[in-house]
Amino acid sequence: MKRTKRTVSEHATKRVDALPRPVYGVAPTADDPTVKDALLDWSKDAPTYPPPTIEVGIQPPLHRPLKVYAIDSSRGKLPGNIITLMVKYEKLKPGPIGERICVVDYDGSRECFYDPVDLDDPLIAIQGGVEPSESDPHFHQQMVYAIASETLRRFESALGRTIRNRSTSGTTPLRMLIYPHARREANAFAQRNSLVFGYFRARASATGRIAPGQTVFTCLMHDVVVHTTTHAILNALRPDLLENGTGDSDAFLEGFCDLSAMLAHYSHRDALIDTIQRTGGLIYKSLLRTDGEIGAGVPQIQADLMPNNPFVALALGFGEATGMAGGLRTVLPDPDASALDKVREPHQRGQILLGAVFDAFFSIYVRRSQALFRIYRSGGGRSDSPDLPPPLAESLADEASRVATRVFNTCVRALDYCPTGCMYFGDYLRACITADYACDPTDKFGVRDSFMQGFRQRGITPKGASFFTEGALRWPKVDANPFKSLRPHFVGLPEPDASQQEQNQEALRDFIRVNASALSLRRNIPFDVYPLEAIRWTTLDDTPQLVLAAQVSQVTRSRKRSSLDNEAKGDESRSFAGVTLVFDSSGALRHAIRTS
Amino acid sequence: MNKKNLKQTFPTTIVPGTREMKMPGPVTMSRSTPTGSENNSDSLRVRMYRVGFGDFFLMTIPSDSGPQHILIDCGVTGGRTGKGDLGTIKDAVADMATETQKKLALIIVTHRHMDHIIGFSRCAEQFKDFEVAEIWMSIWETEYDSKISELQADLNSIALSAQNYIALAADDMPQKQDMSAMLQNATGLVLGMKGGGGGTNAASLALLKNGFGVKPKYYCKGQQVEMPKVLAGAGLSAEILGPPPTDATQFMKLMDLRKGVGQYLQAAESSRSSKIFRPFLEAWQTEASSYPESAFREWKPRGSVKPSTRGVNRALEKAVQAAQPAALMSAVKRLDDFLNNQSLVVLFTYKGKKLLFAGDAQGGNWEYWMYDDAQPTTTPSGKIGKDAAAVLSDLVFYKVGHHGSTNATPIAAVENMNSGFVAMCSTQEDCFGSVDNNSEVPRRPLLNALSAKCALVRSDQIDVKARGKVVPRSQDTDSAFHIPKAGQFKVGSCYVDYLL
Repeated sequence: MKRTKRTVSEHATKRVDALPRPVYGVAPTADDPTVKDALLDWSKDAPTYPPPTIEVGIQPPLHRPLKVYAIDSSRGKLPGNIITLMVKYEKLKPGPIGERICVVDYDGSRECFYDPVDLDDPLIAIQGGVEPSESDPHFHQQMVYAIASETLRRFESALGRTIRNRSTSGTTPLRMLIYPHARREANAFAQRNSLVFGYFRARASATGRIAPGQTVFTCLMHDVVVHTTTHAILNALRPDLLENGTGDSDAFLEGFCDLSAMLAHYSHRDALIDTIQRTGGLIYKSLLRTDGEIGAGVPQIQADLMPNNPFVALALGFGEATGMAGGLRTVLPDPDASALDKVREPHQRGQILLGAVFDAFFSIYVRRSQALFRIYRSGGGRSDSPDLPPPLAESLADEASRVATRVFNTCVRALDYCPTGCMYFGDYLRACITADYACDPTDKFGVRDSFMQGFRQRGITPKGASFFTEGALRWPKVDANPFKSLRPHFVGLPEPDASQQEQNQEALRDFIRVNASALSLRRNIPFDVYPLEAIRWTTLDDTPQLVLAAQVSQVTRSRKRSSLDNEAKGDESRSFAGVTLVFDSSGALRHAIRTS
Repeated sequence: MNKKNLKQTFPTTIVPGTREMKMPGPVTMSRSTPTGSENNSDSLRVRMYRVGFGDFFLMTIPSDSGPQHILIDCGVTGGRTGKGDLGTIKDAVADMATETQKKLALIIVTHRHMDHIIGFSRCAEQFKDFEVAEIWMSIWETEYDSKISELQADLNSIALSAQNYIALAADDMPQKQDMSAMLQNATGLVLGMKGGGGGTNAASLALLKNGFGVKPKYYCKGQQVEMPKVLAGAGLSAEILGPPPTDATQFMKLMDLRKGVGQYLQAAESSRSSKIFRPFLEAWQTEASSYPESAFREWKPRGSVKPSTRGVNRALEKAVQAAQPAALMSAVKRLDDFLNNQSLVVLFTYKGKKLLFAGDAQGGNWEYWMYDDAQPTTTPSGKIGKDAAAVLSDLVFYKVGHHGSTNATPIAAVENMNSGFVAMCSTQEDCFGSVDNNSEVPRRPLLNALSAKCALVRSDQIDVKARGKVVPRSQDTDSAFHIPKAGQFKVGSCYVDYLL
């Protein structure tokens, strides 16, 4: 029988016609008998090619639009400060309480709760969330929820996996507890998976847009929320760095959280375009052009003031409220090769790392935006003109955003390539180079070279690499000779279930036991294994990639009788050995990165 | 006075590993009368007053124009338990005033902690009549470098804020007592105690810098001291071993304390109004029951189906507080270490005899002068520099650093010290640290190690009278003194003398 080929739309019409009118708000499922019948009926005279699937009924949305401040509340309605984040949709309870993020507005200083927001309330949902307001705790709760969700999504997107709380005894999906007004203090911090935000009165010496004595909420500062969320994510991803925490580990964690906070801005298009307009495309300038008369001498009106560039100053609102001239930190401190020897305090030392990565980021952006400027100039545009044509500003914003995503992904993927328990900035450079190479061997963005130069300018040179070249900086491939086997037997990859995880853990332990000396671990001494995790991405030619990483730590304790301690027990000496194992998609060991 | 009371019998201490253990019989020491009459002898004398947990030393040098006195610190602090301050400092200062006839050739202030300087402001009435020829202080007290003085002022304001904040925190805040004690030492303010003993660190520093009519000299390692003529004439010379210069690498790490952890400590600028300060209108306040049960999954009181507000309050408050002290404690500890490491370390030489006063110097300060390397090692038995080895192997006297705490006398230093010198440790038990985590002050293994090498005497080894009551010696001390290889100890009403 000759079959008549129908168009998809004809099928769809038939199917939809065959279905009962859907009840509002309830999507029929495949198990619904009426739907089943319709499908069966349809299949009787179906063509041989697979039937097209047509979504019917009211489907849950993919995203939930929620308004947040892109910088902080003191910027009010300045261009680009109020943005709408498209947060992955999930059903929420009042709080908001979701599957991964739980906001509980308890004020420890006043010992009371604040009313929880119900973002599923249709009146709120229809407005795209609660309107921004400093005096409405519902908006505060919405903002921390939205930013924490978005930050978690960006990490999971870079790593291609669900972020889980890792410990040597297993993993559980990360669930963050957020207290937006936990204490009356000028601080915000993360303790394991808890995010604690404080509120305080601005100092008498407050600068910028903040009035002295004004109540300042740290949960309304975008940078602070991302920074703190990143701490909680790092606590889950790399607990070994917290637990052992030697070398530059503390500074690295702080620097990385700043990095994550500052790169997040580059996905906020309106704010980015405004900054590009006000810096003539040079987004790394510390001050923005005024709205008023340019070069008019002493500012006469507020529009004459040159505002700080929120894309380079971290926690601007926090800095201003506590009487500093700018933000708490800057992404571009002056490059000083001796700073590494001088600065020890973790936040300030972390700023060196931040500077190195942002130097790389801005350099890539400037290089890649050159072509756009050339086109602009060849068409008669003047590079010294204070106004950029909107299409150029938009193209530059796209470029900045693309480069920022690329740099962020490299920085996040490098986390799985860092040594265990103790790391130095130089190790992180090597991890970035190795992770980026695995993702994009051709490196058309010039990311790796920019990273190397950015780090070198700040005196960060890895130990143990014989040359400062890309090849020498990549972690070496494992030498198969001393290993009895390179391929532990893993099952259920890339997302093993609980029992498969246990099997993999056991396989890993067997593998380490057998190859202990090849991995520079001491035999017959207990060791801890942080479970295997996968990094998944597609390369630029769309090849799916899978890399597996696990961390192994071994602490050797011995009681040494020192000549000082005449007591029988003596002082305990502790030596630490760690190795990060990176396996390729076939399950073969590719790198064994030893802790220096 | 009953003559019998002036005599005290001390059995010979048997110290394993020392020659003195062979010495027979009890040794009798006279309790000296509190007059200056004994100083006519040719001997150099170091007097350690027992004031509790704090340093108060008087060194006396014989000279042609009579005995010359050097006061090294004058302070005391209560510590975590409040037991550190015996209340004898005023009596001790009075004794010192009589002894010196209110003339001091030199005052050395090692650093600005309460347990080293509070006596100056607490006994300001007595000090105001003193004639002081010269004052030496740590480079960190200089007024000539605005960066340093701004940093110190800033640290002081941080300490004050934090002290207020902690004072108002709930009593079950972990490590509250330890933090309070350290901050009290930093500011000299005794909160919550009536009167608090009087004085503040700020008042003491003001007196030292402006009240004696002499401008202090500020020193660091590597600088030549200007010894007062009368002391130089008496044959005394001095070398400054610490603190390191303010731009030295290992010190720089502490310079940025303000920027890094200062933000954690800004909490309490006016935290007294904490409960009055409302971030939102009253109408926004609600009960735990407004939240779904899943909100409390992580910290629901065990066994309860629906958590009560009170239970939730307590559990959440605990969770939030548990996060806070870790940062606060680390900040407070850093502040404490930083101030200790500012200590002026002075090595005196008198007729070829070397006397080391180490203040409260800790790791970084010691390492700077002990090791030649640009990158100091922290390995306990690391090879120490030639000069340091020469100093340590030729000591006749050592003022034990930081009241005998574990990190104030490095193992390498003890190992390199010769045997047979005298060590004096001004301390009081049960004020800081704990035996459980090997941090008790004084640290027993350290004192044992020192005892094995030298004749060690502790200030809390003698009974003193305070506020009309006798404060007995600390429980685990021995009433017996070690016998020094050279010189002798004498016990006074509130002090121990070492006569050399």
